[in-house]
Amino acid sequence: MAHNGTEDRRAALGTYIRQTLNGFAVSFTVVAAIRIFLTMCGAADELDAWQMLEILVTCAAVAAVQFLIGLLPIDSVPALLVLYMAAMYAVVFFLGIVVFDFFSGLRSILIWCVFLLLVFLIVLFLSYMGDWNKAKEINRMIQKKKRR
Amino acid sequence: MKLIIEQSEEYKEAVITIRCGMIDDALKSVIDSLQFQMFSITVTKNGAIRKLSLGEIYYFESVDERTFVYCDHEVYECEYKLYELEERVGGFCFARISKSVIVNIDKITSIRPQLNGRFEAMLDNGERQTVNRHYVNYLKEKFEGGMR
Repeated sequence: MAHNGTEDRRAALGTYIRQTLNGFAVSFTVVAAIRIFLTMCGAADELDAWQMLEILVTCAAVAAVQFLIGLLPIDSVPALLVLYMAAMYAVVFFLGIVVFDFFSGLRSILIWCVFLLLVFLIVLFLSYMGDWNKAKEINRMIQKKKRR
Repeated sequence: MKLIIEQSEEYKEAVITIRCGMIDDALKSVIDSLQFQMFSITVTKNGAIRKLSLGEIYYFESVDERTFVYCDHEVYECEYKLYELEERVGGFCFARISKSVIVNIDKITSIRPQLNGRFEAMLDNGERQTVNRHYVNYLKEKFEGGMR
């Protein structure tokens, strides 16, 4: 029996959307947590509701762009990672300069750059761990099959 | 279950007859195994035609509208399209892992995740094949259910 490609693709898209939403939730939480930590340390200004909303919209925009990039048929892992990072920085700088105006100076830009790198690495790590667990499960099945 | 083998010079061709009341899991496994051994694919290489048993095949790949059959060291061409092969061999231990590849899952030694959300399948001849995100769950089901 051949597999049902349409159903499988639909399920895979569902998983991919869930992963993107997870990535968005994690990135927003990490950015907000770091931002609050910096405020508490006195390294950044007070955080108000509007700034929180800016962070939320920015994280959502980054997740949306990365979701679209993930649909492209790119085989090279380094190329994809560079593209993800470039898209993330482009979206944040575009929103930060043109829409929200949240870059108040060089220090602010530097803080955002570090933020983004951290968030990118955390989301990448969590996503990889999810796949690693799935691979582990399949490998266990392969070993079981080989032993039979 | 009893196994009776009658060997004689009179018999020109081996004929396997199974007499049973009902087909249980053990018998189904025997039948699947026999069907797998008896199923063959006609392939060509340099104008020569030969038949390959499924156990010899590592994977099928479609390149520029042509379908190639990869064995341990040899590469052949076959006349079937990939979707036709999927219908013919999908009931055995073969699974689609990307748009252009159907792999013999018995030849997979392990799976590992990549940073781009795809997986890499290691085959026992040392070759590696990319498993597209869309087909990972299907591959897992194949390992879970064995031959369907």
